[in-house]
Amino acid sequence: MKKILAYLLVISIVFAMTGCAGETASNDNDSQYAKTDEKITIRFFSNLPDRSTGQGKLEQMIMDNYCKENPNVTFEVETLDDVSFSQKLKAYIASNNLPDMLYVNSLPAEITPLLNSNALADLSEEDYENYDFIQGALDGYKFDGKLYGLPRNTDFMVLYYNQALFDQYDLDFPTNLEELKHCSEVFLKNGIIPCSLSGQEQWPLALYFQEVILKTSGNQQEIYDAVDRKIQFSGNDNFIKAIELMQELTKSNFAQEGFAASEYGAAMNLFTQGKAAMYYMGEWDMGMATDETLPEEFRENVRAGYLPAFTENGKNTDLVAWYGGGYGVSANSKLKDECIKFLNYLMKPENWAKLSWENGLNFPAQDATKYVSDNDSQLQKDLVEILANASSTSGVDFYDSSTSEFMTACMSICQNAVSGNASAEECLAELDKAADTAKSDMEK
Amino acid sequence: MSKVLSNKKMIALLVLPGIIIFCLVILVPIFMSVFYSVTDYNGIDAMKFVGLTNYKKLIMDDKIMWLSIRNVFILSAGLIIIQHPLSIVCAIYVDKAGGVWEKIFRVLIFIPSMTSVVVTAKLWMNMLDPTFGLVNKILKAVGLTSWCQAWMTETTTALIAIVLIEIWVGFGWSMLIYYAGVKGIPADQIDAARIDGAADGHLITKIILPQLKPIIRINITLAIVNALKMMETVYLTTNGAPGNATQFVANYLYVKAFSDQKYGYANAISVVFIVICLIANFITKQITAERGEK
Repeated sequence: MKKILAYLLVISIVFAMTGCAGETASNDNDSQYAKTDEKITIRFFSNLPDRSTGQGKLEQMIMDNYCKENPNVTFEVETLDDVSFSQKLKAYIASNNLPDMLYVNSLPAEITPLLNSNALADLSEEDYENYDFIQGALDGYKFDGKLYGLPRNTDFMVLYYNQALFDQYDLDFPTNLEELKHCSEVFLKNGIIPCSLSGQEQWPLALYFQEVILKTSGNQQEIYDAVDRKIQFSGNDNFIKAIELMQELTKSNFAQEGFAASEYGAAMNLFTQGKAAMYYMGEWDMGMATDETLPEEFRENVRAGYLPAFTENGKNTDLVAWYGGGYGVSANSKLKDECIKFLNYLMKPENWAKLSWENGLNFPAQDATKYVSDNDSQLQKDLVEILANASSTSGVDFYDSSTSEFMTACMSICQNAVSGNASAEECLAELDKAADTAKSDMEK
Repeated sequence: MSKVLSNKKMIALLVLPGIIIFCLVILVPIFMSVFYSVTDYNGIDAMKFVGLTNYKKLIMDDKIMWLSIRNVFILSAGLIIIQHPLSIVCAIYVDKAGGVWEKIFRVLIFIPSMTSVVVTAKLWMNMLDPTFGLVNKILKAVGLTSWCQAWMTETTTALIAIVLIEIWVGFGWSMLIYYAGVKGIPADQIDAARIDGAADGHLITKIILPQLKPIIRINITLAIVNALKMMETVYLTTNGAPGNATQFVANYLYVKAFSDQKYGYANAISVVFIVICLIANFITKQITAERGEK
């Protein structure tokens, strides 16, 4: 009897183990055979963790509206910040377990792994003829004549500033490096941080690095030629000069102490709380002017301008600008059609473009001019002017224009270059090494 | 029951689920790692056999890997040289406190170890922030303004900061293990030593420390293992920056796999990582073994 009981015990352990697997399998089957008129749950993977302000709020708002109109649909939203998002996305791709719908960055280092693994569903371009996308906005998502995603933003880097602080110390917004240094000195004397930079995520410093090079040389192409190995980073006078100038600025305490370890939110807080007079970031933070959790005085005084030229060769109006983020659908999703239906709803001009502009939340990749009104914040008007007057735009930023490994190496090198932890020559030699490795990897 | 347990087939059958789980979650992944480490697998394209290329690059050319290993040793040394002596002294005095105070101190000291790593990492990031952080504010308040630093961004201080955070985070565990050891020392031995006129210093060096030897050995092994596995705090604070000054092996492996998409190379790191763990474990065992135990 005891022997029988013991065998039963062993069998029950084995069943307990296999039973769990059986349950999971049955759940998978449920979703496999889900029909669109039945209750369905779309797994949505986003890089916007803050669902109460900015673009995250807009994304959630449209999702909620869609659920109201389609009561059978619910969303299971997973959000991570940019760096973690990018890492987890690669894990999803490798395990062939991509969520049904996701944020897709059209930058080559980000979208290439998705395309190489045939992970994205192709969309019908004709469906978007009346979606008012700005000319060229869809190009980043087109490969071999097929469309794999829709862009949500027109992205460009600007120097936000607090007009009240400039007025208080009788300063004008700087238009060249000397004026920038003068403003910086005055603010420092009065206990104000001249400019808030975010460095922990590294990419804001890589963009700053590219823009300082642009504002020093006045040449958009040079840095891309170096990535493509047509020229060397090392020994290039423009690159050396730019790094030396940015390190000189860093030494003069232009940015907050320890900015290289400042988180995005912490850097932004310094600016929104009036501790810093300027803040270098992309246009996607335009929601600062309408965010009611921020002090009213700040919201009324937040403005944006160009990062000024660092030398006579540089032009103020040259921009680091690109069509970056957007959305795509997993090719292997069992809910592909439903996801495309939602994507079309999400990106309808009267949804994404209109709501984002009217709520002052972001700068859409669709024509928003018909929504421009006198009610727009001054910040929105500034940003429209900045883009309209741009003398040149960069397109895909340089660190995203090659392999994933190049991107990681580049961001770390730029962090060192801006914070002054390595000399110009050391940084450029490291960039050459990273670009050489990337090129040989791409040729394999 | 004793009949059942003396049946070898029955024992094998009962142990079988455990062995299967062990094989599936420990052995199979190790063998898979070894397999992938000799490929150029990137998670997407078809993998190619590249022989020992990944190992050659890792050992001969990869300065960051060596920097990561150096940092592991610095952290291990920090834990063993700073954390453990403090933990032992703390354990002895908490034991000595007795009554309610003993319970209060025990809980207070263990709080950092019970707190989530995310919370402790963010807490220290804020404390060490050069603009609004408490550490610099205290230094300024006591007139040590010249000591104020951008702790997490200077190559010279970032690693020290990580080591100090880890010492603080792991202090509760270390103290608790020593405390259990101190509690296990028979009271009559201590009483006898006191009657013989032993002062506190003699009591610690002649009675308590020799009795704690097995505990010290366990704690040293745990310190080295923790340093080798160091990932969360680094990922949440500096992520290896500035440059790679605070890079650690486990975090570097993660970066290579999930940022650079070099899964083959990352697996080579993991195999080297396992080898380092085995060597470290062997050396620790040799050093701390009692005479005749080797």
